[in-house]
Amino acid sequence: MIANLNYVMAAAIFTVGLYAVLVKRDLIKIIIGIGFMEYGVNLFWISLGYRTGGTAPIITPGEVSHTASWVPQTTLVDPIPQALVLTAIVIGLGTTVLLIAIAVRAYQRYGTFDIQKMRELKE
Amino acid sequence: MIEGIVKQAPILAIVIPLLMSTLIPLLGRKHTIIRNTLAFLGPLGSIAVLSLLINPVFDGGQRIIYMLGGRIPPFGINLVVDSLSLLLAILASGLTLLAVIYSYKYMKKYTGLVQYYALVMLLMAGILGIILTGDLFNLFVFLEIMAISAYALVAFTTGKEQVEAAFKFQVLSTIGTLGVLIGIALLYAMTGTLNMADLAQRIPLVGQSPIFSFALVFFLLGFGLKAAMVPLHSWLPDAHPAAPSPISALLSGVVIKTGVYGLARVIFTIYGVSMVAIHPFLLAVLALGVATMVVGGLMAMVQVDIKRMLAFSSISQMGYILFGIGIATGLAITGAIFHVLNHAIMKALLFMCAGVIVYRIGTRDMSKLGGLAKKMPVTALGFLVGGLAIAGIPPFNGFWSKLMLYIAGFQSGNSLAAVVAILMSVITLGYFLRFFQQIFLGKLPKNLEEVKEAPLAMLLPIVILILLCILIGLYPQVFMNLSQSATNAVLDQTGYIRSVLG
Repeated sequence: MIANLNYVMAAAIFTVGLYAVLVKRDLIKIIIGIGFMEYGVNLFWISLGYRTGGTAPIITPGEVSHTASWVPQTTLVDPIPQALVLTAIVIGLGTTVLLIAIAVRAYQRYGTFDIQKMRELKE
Repeated sequence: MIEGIVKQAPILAIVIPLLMSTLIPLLGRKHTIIRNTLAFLGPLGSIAVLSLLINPVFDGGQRIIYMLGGRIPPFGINLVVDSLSLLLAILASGLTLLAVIYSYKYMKKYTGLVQYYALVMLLMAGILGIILTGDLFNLFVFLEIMAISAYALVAFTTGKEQVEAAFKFQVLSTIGTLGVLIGIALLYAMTGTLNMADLAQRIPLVGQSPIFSFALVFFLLGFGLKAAMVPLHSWLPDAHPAAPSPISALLSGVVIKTGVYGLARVIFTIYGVSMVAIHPFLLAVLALGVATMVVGGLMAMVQVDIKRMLAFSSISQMGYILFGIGIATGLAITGAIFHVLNHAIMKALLFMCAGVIVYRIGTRDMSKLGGLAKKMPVTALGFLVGGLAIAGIPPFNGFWSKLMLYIAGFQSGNSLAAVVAILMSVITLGYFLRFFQQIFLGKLPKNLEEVKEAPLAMLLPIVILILLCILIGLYPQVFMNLSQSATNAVLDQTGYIRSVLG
C-alpha cells in the first residue's frame, strides 16, 4: 500500500481536478481543475519511471570505464517518463495560458466568470 | 534532387506548413499579397511532396519510414507513411488549401489575419503530424498542437458565442487528450516502449493483462471525445458553428477525423484485431457508433441555425464511421475509410455553402431565409449536392461508402444496426431536403432582394468540391481501391512491424 501511495495520490489529484471541472461554475475554478488533472497525470508518469534506490540517470565517463560496459552498476530511474513529463508540462503551460486568455475575453464580453449566467446572457 | 526530396518527404510535409506559420507573422504583416501567397504555398507544398510518395505507397504497397535524427527504431521518433496515412494526409492538405482560398474573401472584414493564417498553418501541421507519426507520444504532442490552434481559431472572432464555445471546447478536449495520455502511460508501463511498431510487437509477448483493457478504455474516451462520439459530443455543436466558416469546414472535415484515425491505429495496428476482440470492446464501439448516428441525426432535425444543423449532421456521420470501425471486417473498415474521405468533402462543401449565406446575409437563422436559389444558384446547387451526397443518394459519393457500410453490417450479422443506419440515412435525406426547401426555395423575403452570389474566390472551392462529389460518385472504383489499400495497410500488423523495425 505504502509503495503504491504515489499512484493513489495521482488518481486522487486527477479525481479532484475532474470534480472541479464537472461541478464548478466559475471559469477560473474550472481552469484550476484542468491544472489538477494535468498534475495527476504527470505524477502518474513520473511514478512509472521511479525505481527504489535509483539515482539520476546520468552516466559519467568514470562509471562506464570501471564497469567496462555502458550499463552502470547502480540502479537508475527511467529517464524517458521524465523527458515526456517535461514535454507535457510545457504543453500544459500553453493550454493554461490560452484558457486564461479565453476566460479573460469571456469576462470582457459577459462581465461574469459564472458559466450559468453566461448561458442566460447569451441570447 | 528529386530523390533527396522523396527521402525527406514525410518530414517536409509537416515542416512546410510549420515554416509558413512562422514566416507569415514575420513577412506577411505589411503586404497582404505576401501573407496570402505564403498561406497558399503551405498546403500546396505539402501536397507536392506527398504526391511524390503516391507511386511507391499506393502502387508499390510500401511503407516509407523516416527516422528523425537518423536514430534507428525503436529509438528516437520515426514517421511512417502507409496508404492510410498518405490518403488522409493528402485529404487534409487539399482541404486546407481550399479553406485558405475561401478565407481570402470570407475573412477580409476581420483584423489580425496574419495570426489567422499562421494558426491555420499550425492546425494543418498538427493534423499531418498526427497522421504521419509512428510514435505514440509524438502523436499526443501533435494532437495538442492541432487542438490548441483549433481552440484559438474557434475563438478567433471573439464574439460572445465564440469565447463561450471555445472555452467549452478546450476544457472538454483537454480531458480527452489527458485520457489519451493516460492510455499511453499505461501502455508504456506494461511494455516500456512508445514506438507503435515496437508496441505491436511487445503486447502479445506480455500477454493478457487487465491493464491493456484499461488502457483501451482510456483511448476510447480520449479519441472518442475528439471524434464527437455520443455521449462525449456536447462540445461540437457549439464549437463548429462558432468558428469562421472555412474553419468549420476544416474542423468537421478533418480535425474530428483524427480521433477516428487514432482509434483505428490503436485498435488495428497497435493491439491487433485478435487482441481487441477478446473483450466486447468492438461491440461497444459499434453500439456507441449507432447511438452517435441516431442522436446526431435526430438533433439535426430540430435546429434552426444552419451551421448548428450541419454540426449535428457531422456527429451523425461520425456515427457511421465508428459503426464501420466497430464491425471491423475488411469491408466495414474500407467503407469507414471511404466515408471519412467522402464526409470530409461533402461536409466541407456544406459548411462553405453555409458560409456564403453568412457572408452575404449575415444570419444563420434558417427561418429568416427563403427563395435564395434564384439569387445564388451555385451555392444552392452545392447545398443540394452536399445534402444528397450525405444522405447517400446515387450517383453522389456518399452513396458508395454508405452502401459498403450497410453490406458490411448485414454480412457480419449486425442486421439491426445496419437497419438503423439505413433508417438514419432516410432521416438525413428528409431534413436536408426540408432545409434546402426552406433556404433556397419558396418566397424570397423582402429584405433579401439585393443579395448577390458569392465572390469568385469563395465559389472556386465550392465548385471544386461539387465536382469531387460527382466525380467520386461516378467513378467510385478508384477511390474504393485506395480505401481498400488503406485498410490492408492498417490491418497488416506484421507488415507494419517488419517495415519499421526491419
